[in-house]
Amino acid sequence: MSTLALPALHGKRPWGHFVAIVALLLAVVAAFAAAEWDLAALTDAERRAAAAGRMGAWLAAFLSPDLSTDFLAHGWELTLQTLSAAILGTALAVVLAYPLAMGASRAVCVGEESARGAWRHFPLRSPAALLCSLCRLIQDVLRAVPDFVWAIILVAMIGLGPLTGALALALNITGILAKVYSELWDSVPEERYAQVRGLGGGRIATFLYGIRPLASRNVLSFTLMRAECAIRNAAVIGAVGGGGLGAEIWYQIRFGAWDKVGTLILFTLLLTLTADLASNYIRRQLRGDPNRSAAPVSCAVAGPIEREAVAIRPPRAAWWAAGFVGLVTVWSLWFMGWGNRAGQDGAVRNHLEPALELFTGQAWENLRFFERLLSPVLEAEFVWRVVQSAAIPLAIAVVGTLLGVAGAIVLTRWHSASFQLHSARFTGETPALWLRGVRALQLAAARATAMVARGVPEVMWAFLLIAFFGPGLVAGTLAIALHTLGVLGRVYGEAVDNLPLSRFEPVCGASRMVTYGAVAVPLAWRDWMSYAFFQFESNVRAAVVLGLIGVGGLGFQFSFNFEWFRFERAGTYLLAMILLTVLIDRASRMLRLGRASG
Amino acid sequence: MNSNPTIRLTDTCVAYAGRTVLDGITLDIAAGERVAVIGPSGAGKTTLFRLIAGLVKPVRGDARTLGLDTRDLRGRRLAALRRELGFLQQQDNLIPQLRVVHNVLMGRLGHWCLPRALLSLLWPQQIELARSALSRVELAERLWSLPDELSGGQQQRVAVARLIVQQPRLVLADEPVSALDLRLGREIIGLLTELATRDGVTLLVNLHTLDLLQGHFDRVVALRDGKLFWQGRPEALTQALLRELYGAEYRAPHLDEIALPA
Repeated sequence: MSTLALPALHGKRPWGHFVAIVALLLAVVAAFAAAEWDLAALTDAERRAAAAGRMGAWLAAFLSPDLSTDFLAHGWELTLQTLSAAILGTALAVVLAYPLAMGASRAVCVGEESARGAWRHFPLRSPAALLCSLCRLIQDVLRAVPDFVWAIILVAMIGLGPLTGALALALNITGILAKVYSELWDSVPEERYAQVRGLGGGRIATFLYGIRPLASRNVLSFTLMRAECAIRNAAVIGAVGGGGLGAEIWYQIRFGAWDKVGTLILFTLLLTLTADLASNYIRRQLRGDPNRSAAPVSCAVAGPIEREAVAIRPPRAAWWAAGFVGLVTVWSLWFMGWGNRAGQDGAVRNHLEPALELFTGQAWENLRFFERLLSPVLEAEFVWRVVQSAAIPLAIAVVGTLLGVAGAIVLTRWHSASFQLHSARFTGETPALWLRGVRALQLAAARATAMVARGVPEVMWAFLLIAFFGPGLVAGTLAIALHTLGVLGRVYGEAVDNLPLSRFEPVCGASRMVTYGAVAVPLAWRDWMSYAFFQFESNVRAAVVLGLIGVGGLGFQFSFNFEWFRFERAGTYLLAMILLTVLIDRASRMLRLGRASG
Repeated sequence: MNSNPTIRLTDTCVAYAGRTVLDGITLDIAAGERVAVIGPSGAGKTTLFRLIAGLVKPVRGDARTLGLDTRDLRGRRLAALRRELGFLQQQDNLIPQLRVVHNVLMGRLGHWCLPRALLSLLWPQQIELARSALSRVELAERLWSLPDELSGGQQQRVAVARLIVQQPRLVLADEPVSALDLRLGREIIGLLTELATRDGVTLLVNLHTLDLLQGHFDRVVALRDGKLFWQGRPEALTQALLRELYGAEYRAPHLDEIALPA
């Protein structure tokens, strides 16, 4: 037997995980040192009692929502409006992101090249390379400016309304989709499509016949996840003028009409949970069912098992899907323009009209007004204050993500079908009927918890928590943590359920709890951490958005200066937002903590 | 024979989705016995092991392992049985993400509470146990390696070291050497039988390679089509018997070459 590895290298106790723990602790300490935490909201007994009182009052109101026919009809119209805005935004984003991603993907845009070494990273080496860098810059800016900020700018251009929300979503999602599409395309190994090149295909042909099909399933799956996300965001973007449910919720919160807020939150949940289930279903179709037959599945790799589709699908399915997507998009367009009755007295109002202003030039005249945004203040003292304010969303994201990840790890124990329903197949237990019932209930409770936690968007959690604890970092952090718990609960659970059960057989008699902690968690750990880091990136952006609605920090400073027409200062804050996102993105690429596929 | 055997199967039947896989098996295995299970593929060897471990339940008949009825395992009895049961499989014994030391110390998971099991992942508990077990399989210097850095034979030896740490009363080894070449296979079987003899462990090994039978086992159990075909001492195996047992598979050249009393 040949020993491939050098024993000298591995003869010593490894310290890597301690370094990671220390780094995490340092990040937490920094998060608490860099920002002023209103922890008194949690530690002070009096304030805690007051918050509990408000929570109780809200719960009471939530449990008796306004169910009058008028308001229900109004809520339903708003739900449809939100849905149409989300669909329109996503459709537009996909159409825009596709060519942008083609430009930003090195494999597609630059293709084969002889450049070597550092020259490979120099953008001026060829026109194609320059185009590639340019597209990446555009995509970074689109992505780094949160949809809420796009909405604020668009409101000034074309006014309030669902179209504003749809366009704001479209701009932000374009950036996100373009980034992920181009990364997915770049990650296809070159030798897998070398034959297309060898046959004489140009860059476009190589893309269409080689790269695109090889990455198409991941592209589809990610687009679906984003569409789901768009629905959640569309439900809250009304808070800054984007129309839909969010506008009404924000309005009713200001009036303290908690029964109406309760109804609207129920409508939001109806929308987001339906989207959640639908996307779950479609994604399962896309990746094929993880095999759960009695035969032990032997699989040496950890994590989600990517299975090739077994059945040869009739080519009609794709046409059906495309037709359905087209139909839904047409419906959204129609609804946005002519089908909407959510205005006063059920009057029809064409929400598409403001778009005309984009073509008549009126909107661009309005945009002139913001020219000063492009000349940011760059005095050292002010810049330092901006950097300090950027620490707040970072601190919120660090602590919120950590809390959410910890919660998701605990929740996954009960969220996993492997451990709740199928455990007898690796323990040999003969559970009594009542015990199986209890476990199924635990599973259902855990899944419901995760679904509600992710079904309510961060911004809406923040609305509620601000109402309970007052505006501040605590409310923002808890909002992020709750949403993270829900999102990660689902993917963590999937990662565990994709592990073959035979993995848990040779565990030397460990209880189910110990098997989960000491065997399942290490097996899924690497996947979990890359999901967690991806969530952290998105949490930083979310924390900036939470700033806009009163949590403080970068977002708050931006909107404050913007509303007082101090555009130069607002411009600096905007620049800081972009830099923050780009820096985190580059850092994650350097650490190779890329998005987990799937 | 022994009045309280380690394994007692009485006319046991197992069926998957209506198809009978094991049919009327009656088998007693005494404590400390070393038994090899042979038979053509599809004969139900793996199912027999899963039946003994309680992972599949009989549809008819009775299955008792370590004196416990496997059809009714829960709570404390289940925990007791699982602590006393050691597994060794063809592959996937080790957790690839965990270093050898953690994989070996998994043998203690049945005795550790959750906090201790988690702490052990950061700071290995009872590390001396792992060290001595690894030196018994001559891998002491591999304490901190990752399983991927080891060869297939070394990985199986780490799994044996885990059994040494676990100290079960019954070891079920399901084709432990099928992925290895003959010399390495002999080494692993040698380690297993040595462990069994030294600590008085009952050992059941499912074997594909008949060359490893001689000298290691007290008894051979042959399965065919889910039925108990033959059992006896390894010396009593004959070419004629094997030909009947394996049928067409017996054409495989390596079976012909085995030196057996004709």
